[in-house]
Amino acid sequence: MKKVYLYPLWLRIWHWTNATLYIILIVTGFSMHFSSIQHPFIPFRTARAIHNVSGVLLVFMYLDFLINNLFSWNGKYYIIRFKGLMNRIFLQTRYYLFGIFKGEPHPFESDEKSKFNPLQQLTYVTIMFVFMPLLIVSGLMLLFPEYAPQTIFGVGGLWPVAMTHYTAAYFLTLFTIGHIYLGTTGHTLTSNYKTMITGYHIIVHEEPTREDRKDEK
Amino acid sequence: MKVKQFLLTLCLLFPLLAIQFLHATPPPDSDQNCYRCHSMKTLSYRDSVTNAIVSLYVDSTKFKHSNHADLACVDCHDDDGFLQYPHTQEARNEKLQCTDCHDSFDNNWEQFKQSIHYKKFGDRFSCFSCHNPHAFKASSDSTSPKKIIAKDNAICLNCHSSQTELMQLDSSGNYTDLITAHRWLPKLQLHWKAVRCIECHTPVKSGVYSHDILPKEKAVKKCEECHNTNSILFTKLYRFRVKEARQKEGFLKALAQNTPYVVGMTRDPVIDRWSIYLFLLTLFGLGAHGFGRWLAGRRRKK
Repeated sequence: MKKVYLYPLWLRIWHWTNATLYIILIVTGFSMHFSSIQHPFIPFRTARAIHNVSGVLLVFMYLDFLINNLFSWNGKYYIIRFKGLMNRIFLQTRYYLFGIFKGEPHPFESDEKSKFNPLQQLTYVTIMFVFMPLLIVSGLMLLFPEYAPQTIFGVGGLWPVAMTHYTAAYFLTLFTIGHIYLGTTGHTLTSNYKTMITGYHIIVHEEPTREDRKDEK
Repeated sequence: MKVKQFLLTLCLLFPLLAIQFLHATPPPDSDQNCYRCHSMKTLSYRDSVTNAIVSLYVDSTKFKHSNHADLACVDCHDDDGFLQYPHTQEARNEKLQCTDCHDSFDNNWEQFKQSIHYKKFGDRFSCFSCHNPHAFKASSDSTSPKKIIAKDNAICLNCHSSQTELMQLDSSGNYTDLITAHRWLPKLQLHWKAVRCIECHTPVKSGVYSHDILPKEKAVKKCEECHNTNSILFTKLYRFRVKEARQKEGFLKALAQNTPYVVGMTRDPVIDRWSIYLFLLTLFGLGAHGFGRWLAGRRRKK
């Protein structure tokens, strides 16, 4: 067993603030999308105000994420190593589909060198550098429509922006649910959650070195 | 003797002075010379071809408030023939066009040539049939939309609500009055107050209005072309309402409230249904995975 400090304080604060904002935005966004006069989930005006304020805060959290990762060692975890990527994805997928049920060790244990497993890394990069920018830009355009395009493909500019916002938010919602669930796949149900609070990750099975793998054969 | 010489010199100089006076560029207040006649409301003539009465009156107050206020009369009416009275025939035959000065209006001119106005009346229709260069003022953002709508519609109504004006272009007298022509349109008066004629009677491409005025057969007639969340009109209205809210409520409050939010803009029955399916599938998949882990873990313990 080995303890490694993987999540510095700023990252933990960022993560939980972000998580809180996500939940608030998903719930209020859901309420606004399926708004109904007869059966309001959250009163429309309330939902709209909370959503707007949280949305703007999320923009600042995203800037915080960018700046901190740009100027700290944490940024390196987001750089995808393409060599052997397909094989690593295969190993991780096989683990989630089969290995996890057999109690096999994680194929890519988190350590200082690489914090994320390959699927996790690809997901995070897509979320943070594709979906989040789409969500933020479209969200800001709805608040500042003067910067939205007049027209997109011959139709008025705002509807495509709103649909982009909705679609990006939808996939981020799916991500959030998956993220919460996969949080339980640490070496115990709650270990990953504890890591995200204390910052320390406990390595149960040291990743086998090449020599070890040879020995297994 | 001296007096005699002086008079002789004067006699010789006079024609020179006179010529000089006639050919010199008039001083800036030369407009006054023009207004001496052209400020008379009744100044007009009967066109020998069309038989129509053409007014030559220029409202100096309106002109001074127009976009052309900085120009002197002779900046556009630059034929020397205007400097003498009566104006020479050459000067009177001058055909001015907006594009003479405004190069950037070439596109408008091309669009105009596609319009029903040009197709029907040819050269008898020009920029000035609609835009009075002596009063023209571009609709700016600062004026209220209602005023812009009323002002822009007045340009069309100037002819389209006046039998005499229409008669001048088309003496057949074969025209349907506006109300009859728009009978199909619900809430007619409300529409006329809230949208401009050109909103439906020009092809809107990439948000820029065209000078190609469409005949009624080609004009917008489908309600959903405007009453739709992805219409250009909607985008403009949303923008306007955000701006208005900011002015009324202040930047931060308007940002938090975003009152122009349009309920249901992102709703689509098909997308909604499939997004719910995919969401449930995700929940089910994760639930099944978790259940499988629990079962497998129990078996391993045994």
